[in-house]
Amino acid sequence: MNSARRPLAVLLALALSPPLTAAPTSPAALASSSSSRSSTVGTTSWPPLSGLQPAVYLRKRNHDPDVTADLRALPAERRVDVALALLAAPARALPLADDDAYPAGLDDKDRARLRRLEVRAARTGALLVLGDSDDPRALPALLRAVAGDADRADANRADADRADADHVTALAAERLGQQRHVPGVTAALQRVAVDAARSDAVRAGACAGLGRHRGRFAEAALDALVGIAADKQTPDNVVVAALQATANLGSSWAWQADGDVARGAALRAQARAALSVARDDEPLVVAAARRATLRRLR
Amino acid sequence: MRVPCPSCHSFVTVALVLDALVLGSSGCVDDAGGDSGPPPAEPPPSTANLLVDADHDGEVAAADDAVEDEQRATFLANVDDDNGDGQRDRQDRTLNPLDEDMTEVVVQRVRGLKDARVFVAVSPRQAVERTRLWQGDRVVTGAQAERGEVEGAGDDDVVLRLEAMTGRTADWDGVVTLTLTVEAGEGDDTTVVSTDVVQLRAAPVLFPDNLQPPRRLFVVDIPRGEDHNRALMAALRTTPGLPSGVEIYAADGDAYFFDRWIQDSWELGTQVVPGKAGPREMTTALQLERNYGGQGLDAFVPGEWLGADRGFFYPGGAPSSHNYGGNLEVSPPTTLHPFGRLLYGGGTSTLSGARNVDTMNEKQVAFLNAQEVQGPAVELSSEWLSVGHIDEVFQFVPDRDGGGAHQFVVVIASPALARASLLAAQQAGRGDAVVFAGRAASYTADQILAAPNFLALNEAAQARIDSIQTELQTALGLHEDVFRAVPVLYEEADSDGLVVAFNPGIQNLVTVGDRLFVPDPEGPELDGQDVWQQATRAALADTGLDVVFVDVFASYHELFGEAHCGTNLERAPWTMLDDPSTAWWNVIDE
Repeated sequence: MNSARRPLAVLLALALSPPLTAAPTSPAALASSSSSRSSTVGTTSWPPLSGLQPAVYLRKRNHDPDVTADLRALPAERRVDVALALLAAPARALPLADDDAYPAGLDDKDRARLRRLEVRAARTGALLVLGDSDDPRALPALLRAVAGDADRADANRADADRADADHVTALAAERLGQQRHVPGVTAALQRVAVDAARSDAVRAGACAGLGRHRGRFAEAALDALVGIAADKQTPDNVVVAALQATANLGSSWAWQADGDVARGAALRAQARAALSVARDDEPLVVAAARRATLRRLR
Repeated sequence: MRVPCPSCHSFVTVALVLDALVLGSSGCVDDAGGDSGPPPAEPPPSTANLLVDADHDGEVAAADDAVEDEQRATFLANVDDDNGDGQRDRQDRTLNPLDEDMTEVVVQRVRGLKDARVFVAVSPRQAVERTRLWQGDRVVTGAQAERGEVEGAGDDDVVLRLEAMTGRTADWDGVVTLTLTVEAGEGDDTTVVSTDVVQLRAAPVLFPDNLQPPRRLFVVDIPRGEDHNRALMAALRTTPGLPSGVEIYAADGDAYFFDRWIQDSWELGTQVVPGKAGPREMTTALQLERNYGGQGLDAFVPGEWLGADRGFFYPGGAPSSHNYGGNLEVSPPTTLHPFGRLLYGGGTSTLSGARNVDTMNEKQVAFLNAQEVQGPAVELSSEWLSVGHIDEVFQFVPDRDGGGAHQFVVVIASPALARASLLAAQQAGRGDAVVFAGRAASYTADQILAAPNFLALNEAAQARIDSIQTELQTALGLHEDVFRAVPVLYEEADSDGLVVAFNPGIQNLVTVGDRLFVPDPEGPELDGQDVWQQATRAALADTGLDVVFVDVFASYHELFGEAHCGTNLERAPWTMLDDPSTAWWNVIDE
């Protein structure tokens, strides 16, 4: 237990540190240096991941590869093992389909697009599983992914375009919010959400993570979201995400599920009060999101 | 005779004389200024006169002359395959004498022609490029020549045939102007002796709504494998099955690389024009942009379905699952929209607020709007769904008992109702009641109600659905009572923050006349009754419809679709109904 806790403390301390300017002190670097699991990648034998096979995912109506169901079908510990390996493995080592598994009529461009989606699905499926897990290895893995996953080989990055990389990072931030009783997660997500050096997608993902942080630190998450939404420097896309996240954070259905209806009601009241005053120069898209959020917070 | 005035571009009456075009003193002559009364039995010598079916009685006759200035004749796009050569007739280089999809244009005999010659010209440029005018098996005008000579017009009436390669498109309103001239002399000495102008307009592709009588149901037969659809096939083929008179067309699943989503690759509509024995129709598919490498159902329309009186258009465009047929619906007629209104899904954000811009591609939307009569198409939010189709949210079904404000109701997914049903079960002491009993993954009501993130997502989904309902009410002028909530929960589909129906999506049903084939929601049972089925029956109880629940769990639902996604319907077009006043050419103000 102690060995699992120790890197986590380091990671959180770094996530809470002042804005970073040099790579050696970045969370990614420390996440990398603290990782003790990457060595398992080479020895992991992959279970059947049918969601990466064209013959399976092309049957689906959206044609998107997805390994989440395969992973969820595994025993809990094995599930986390495989998820960690999917995150850490270079693309060429992932259990992707052979070239002849695609419909013959697809051209090279379409085939390459599907291949790229398979890689992305492998990463993101792993993040979904880790977000749901209380395995002590999940939190550091999520933090590494939020940090930008600098410990992964550059060749990995070359397999995905910038949007895919952002997508993976944004999802990691969102799922990090499900670690809802861990001190420091709120601040870590807040730092990402306000970091102008991050893409809007990643910042929006961090907001979504705060919206899932419905545990011990829900009030702090609300404060963070309200602050992000009120800041005139925040891009409109991120403001919209912060508003939606506030509605999710205050979800009456979710608080009822958690058995804490009164706390949920208090949180919604606090959120309504904070969000009821619109910014002077609010664009239409933000105004619409604010109205929708206030409706959901009733 | 009326031609466009060169100065004001309105139609003006032209006195027909042998040696000059003489306009009225003001340049334009109004409708009361001449040409009134019945047309002469025989025109004066050297008069140019073109006849088209301007009065929409299905025949070209002298009587058409009287209305050709007020009404345009109509034509079909020749996009079917009458000669069975596997390609659309518009691609044929030679005339198929049996092809009935061309439109008659009659050049009346030009008496006293002597040395004069008769020419016909097509305009505007878009029409030139998209039409051919045949005299016999000779192309008079076409992409290579906007003007050509009509032979033999001095001897007898000449029948030309207008063939259209396309219908209305984004850059062409489908109007063809034909100008007939009688000319005398040669070269610089040529004199226009007489001119006549007529106009025709392409029939729009009209897409049917779910209230229109069904003719044929399409489904892909998948008899083998874990995801076989034997249950759906049995429901369609055995009592009560399809209503009488409705055919089933079962495409061979093996032939299409596991592709079963026959709703998605095409949208069936109809081109209709007046005919001698009633309206003449060509069932016309909109082939949707759906890249399956030519091995899925993207090959169905051009390869299997194309035939005589069965044609298609293919606008193309950028790929997205938002292009698919499940994301294109037509509302039944409303006061505001007598032919119904086209609806599709798209938008800019996921339920978590992340930016996700996705919608039907521009070319498809432009094609839909070019048809005019059911547009402009309305975009409703569907980008929060993994597949991204509006049939994952709502469906129009008939209200046969007619108790409501409209002749239809809107079956709309409701996470709130689904949750309320589970809470009711829990409060009745049956929190252990099982959802998806017997499936590989099943849940108790208690488990579902104790999943905060799942429920927060569903609360957000409900909020989005509420906004869609509001949009629908505004766009179509609907009363709130027309919406019938049915229990549907959503879950995250994948990593994109997009969602898909958690239980089989009840609203994703198939309407075949008065019978609804409804995905079995497999909800919890109380007192031996599935509470989600009960809620569905209650929602539709006053419509007079027959509800048949169908097992689509492994065959469609687990693959992110339901019954509607796996079927397609050919329905009778508007103008084949009893009331001819419903024909588009009688309703649309041209």
